[in-house]
Formats: sequence, structure tokens, C-alpha cells
Amino acid sequence: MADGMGYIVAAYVVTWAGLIGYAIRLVGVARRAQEQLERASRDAGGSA
Amino acid sequence: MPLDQQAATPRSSTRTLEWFGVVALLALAGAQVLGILTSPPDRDMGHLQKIMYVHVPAAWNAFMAFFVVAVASLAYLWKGRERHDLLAAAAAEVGAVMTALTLLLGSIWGRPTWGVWWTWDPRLTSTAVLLLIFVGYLALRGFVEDADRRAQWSAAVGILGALNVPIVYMSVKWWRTIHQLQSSPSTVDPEYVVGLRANAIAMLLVVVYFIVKRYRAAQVERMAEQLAERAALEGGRHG
Repeated sequence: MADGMGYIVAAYVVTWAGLIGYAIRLVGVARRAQEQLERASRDAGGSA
Repeated sequence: MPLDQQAATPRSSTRTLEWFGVVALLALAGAQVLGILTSPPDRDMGHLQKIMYVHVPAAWNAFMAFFVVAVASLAYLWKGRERHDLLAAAAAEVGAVMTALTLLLGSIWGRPTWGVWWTWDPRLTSTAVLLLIFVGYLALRGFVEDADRRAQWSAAVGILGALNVPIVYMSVKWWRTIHQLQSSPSTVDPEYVVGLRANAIAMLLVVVYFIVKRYRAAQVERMAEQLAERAALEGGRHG
């Protein structure tokens, strides 16, 4: 095994964990925003 | 035009964006394989040089995201359009993520090359300050309820925060530092240039995908906020 291979693997794992983790967070943010909008639309319709 | 009167993002556009995201991530994986397979071990660092293909593109793209923050914030202060504020906020969040990644990757690189995970070096410290400013920016947006005031204060902090980018970039020239000079096609060995460029471009595609995706979610959040404000106002009038 090449010198420092553990650090190289760690760097690439951290990169992908960060990028995929943030992509998953964005999917959650988009879904929650959509739900928030639907709830607000219902409430606005009810109060009008 | 208020956001809640704008047409919702068409489904086909959403699908295109998702495909763009998949292609960007695949391009990044391909660029990393290219960089790893085509670069010989560095004379001083050996195979650890390969960390450059993730660390440097993360840093460059963090800078790019903060440049978007600065331009969108200036545009907001000039024109007062909400979409510029939302774009700045989206880019700030993505920039903060990329800066955190840059610091983590730099730390992983620093341990075997410098012998420490962290040191109060000008480059590292100024990058940490940059991250703190934008974490503060995001916290500020969470605290201020009034949308206009939130946008104005955020724009001011966003511009001041982005002004820190040239300081971070030039820190390795201005002060005594153990960090190497800026990695760019003119400062790295020609054997590493193609891998570095490919990874920087692929990471740029990923960051563009993140910013657009976050911006669209922010638009929907704002529409919901406006509807809730209107409902509260109507409720108050009827009550």
C-alpha cells in the first residue's frame, strides 16, 4: 500500500460524504418547502 | 412581481435540473478517476498529491459561490429584487458547505505533510474566518423575520464576507505561511494540470446544481412565507 493511502482514501470519502450528504439535505429542504407552501395555500384559502 | 404570483417551476425544468445534478456528480467521479490514474507521485508528497484534486477544486468553488453572493447582494441593494436576495442566500449556503469541505480536506492533507491536523497559519485562519462569517450570515437569515430587513442586512454581511475572499487567496503571499502557494495551472507541475482542471470544472458543475436547487427551494419557501403573511393580515382584518 502506498504511503499515506489512508489519508487519500479519507479525503475522497469525506468529499463524497459531504457532497451526497448535502444533496440529500437539499432534497429534504425542497420537500419541506413544498409542504409549507401547500399548508400556507390551504390556510390562505380558509381565511379568505 | 411578488414571488407568489410567479408560475411554479415547471416539472420538466425540475427533471432537467435533476439530470444535470446526476451528470455533474458522474463527471466529478470521472474526473477523480482521471486525476488519480494519470498523475505520477509527487517528488515531495508522493501519492498524497492526489488530495489536491478534491481540496483545491473545493476551495476554488467556495470562492466562486461567494463571488455569486457578492454580485447578487449588490444587485439586491441596487434593484431591491427579492430573487437576488434568494440567489445570494443559496450561494452563501453552498459556499459555506464548500469552505467547510476545504478545511476538512486541508486538515487531512496537513496531518501527513505538516505533522498537524490544524495550525493557526494565515491561510487556514483566514479560511476559518470566512466560514464563520457565512455561518453567521445564515444564522442572521434565520433570526430576522422581516423579509426586507433580512435581505438588506444579509446583503451587507454577504458583501463584507465576500471581501474576505481575496484576503484568503493572497494570504500565502502577504504573510509568512507553511501553506504552499496558490495551486493553479501556472504553479503546479504540467503532469497534474489536466487532472486539476477536469476536477475543478466537474466540481463547478456540482456547485451550480446545488445553488440552483437551493435557490428554487428558497423561492418556494418565500412563496409560503408570503402566503402566511397575507393570511395573517387577512385574519387580523376580519378579527
